[in-house]
Amino acid sequence: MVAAALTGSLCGLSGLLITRLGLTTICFTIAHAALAGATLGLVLSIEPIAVALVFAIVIAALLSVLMTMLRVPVDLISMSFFSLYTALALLFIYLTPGTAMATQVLSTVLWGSVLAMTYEYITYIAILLIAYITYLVLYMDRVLMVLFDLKLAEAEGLDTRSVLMTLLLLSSFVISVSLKLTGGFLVFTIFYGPALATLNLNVRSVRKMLATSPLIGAMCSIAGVIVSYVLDLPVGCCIVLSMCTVVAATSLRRLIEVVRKAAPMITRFR
Amino acid sequence: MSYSMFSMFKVPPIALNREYAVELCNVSTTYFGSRTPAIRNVNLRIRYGEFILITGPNGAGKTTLLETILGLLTPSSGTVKVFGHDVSKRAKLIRRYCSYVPQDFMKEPYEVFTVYEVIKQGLVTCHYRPKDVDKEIREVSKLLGIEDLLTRPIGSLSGGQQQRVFIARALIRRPYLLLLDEPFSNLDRDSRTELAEVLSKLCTDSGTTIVMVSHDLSTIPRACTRVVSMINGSIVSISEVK
Repeated sequence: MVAAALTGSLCGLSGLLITRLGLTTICFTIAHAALAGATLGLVLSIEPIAVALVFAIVIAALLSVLMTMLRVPVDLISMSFFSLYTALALLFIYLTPGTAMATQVLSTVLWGSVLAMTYEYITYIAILLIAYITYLVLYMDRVLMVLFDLKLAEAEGLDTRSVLMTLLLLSSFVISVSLKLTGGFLVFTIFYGPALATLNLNVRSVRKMLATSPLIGAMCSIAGVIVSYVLDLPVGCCIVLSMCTVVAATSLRRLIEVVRKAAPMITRFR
Repeated sequence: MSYSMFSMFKVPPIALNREYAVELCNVSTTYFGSRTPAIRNVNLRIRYGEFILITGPNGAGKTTLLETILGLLTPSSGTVKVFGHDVSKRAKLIRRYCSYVPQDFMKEPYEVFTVYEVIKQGLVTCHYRPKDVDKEIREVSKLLGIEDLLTRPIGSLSGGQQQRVFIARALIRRPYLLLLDEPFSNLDRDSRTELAEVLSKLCTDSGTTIVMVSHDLSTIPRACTRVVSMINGSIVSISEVK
């Protein structure tokens, strides 16, 4: 449950920043690169998360350089790499020794498992969370500047490339460590769900958003673990379902709010 | 209120060429994927403390020229110097002594940054005393008539109000070079006159070099010394303002 809370808050925080920066597809690609790395780790009998981390960091660095140098749409580059890494992941699964879909380790990488959460692993996640928060506290003004307007920040002499690169590298770490809990195919919901729920809640301050999103991520992850334990279901799926429930509820709330605001206008129009 | 109130900031530690603020020598800039340069063979020298107005029809290359001066766009040929420093080599450092008000500033209605936060962000890359920040923000916002909007999210403001916020953000940096891209585009007539006076005062009192892009010549600030006309990426005339 501690691992779920830490991973959920990390994903919530990272997902919000990435969404605000408009780098959603880049992180989508990083997640698939991490998955390809993890499956390669299985083929080579090396720690999957370590290989996933290397893949994620390399692709994050490569994409951030291409993004600034080539000046072509980020989404196009990202999606090209996404296909490549999905193909690699499937290829490595095919090459995994033994009955691939049945192996315990492979199912951990694909769907996530609470059993994979050792004390040592939880310590790594906690260190990552502390490092992430420390970076944000130290460089909050620069991060906020980039979040508000990237071009203006660059025009005012800020090294926007280093801020973007750091956030992408931190996201690579977050995605890689999340693989064991949620699995490679389900990490996106826990990554972007809290950001969407936060936007739906109409939080009117960036600092409050930065607190709300990790909180939603942590709460949904804990809820998912409890449901998984009670009903004896895969933990990754339960976390994602609990996250989707919260997203659906907040979306409904926002929809009602929008309709209520629009109602007087419709009446007047008639 | 005098603009000298911003003198509390530390003097920047780079050597500035006090003769020419901007020197463009045979500068051409071509956008990636385009064969035709957006600006071609531009030669222009802007003196330190000068107020220059760049005008021309849509697509004349005015914004490209501003972004090339700041190093946001890399020229395909020629050299750009700001305060004597080659922009291609020291862009990030030079930009710290400049302010830029872009043309495409409008923020979405859901943007949650408050006006106070947006103006404060302008100081991040400047040298400043943290204890004076609040006072400075209130003074510059008063100067631009947005003191009542400081706690409002910028997304909830009108185009004209947002434009004032961005100008306030540019001014609080106490720039040596101020680049303004269509700063009057969303303002009413009275507001234009007020802003023109603020900019003129900034130029004459603080010696700030101002390069302003505008296709509307109905409001020319009194401190403006030259009007540069551009058509199809080239400078076609430079006229003195009497």
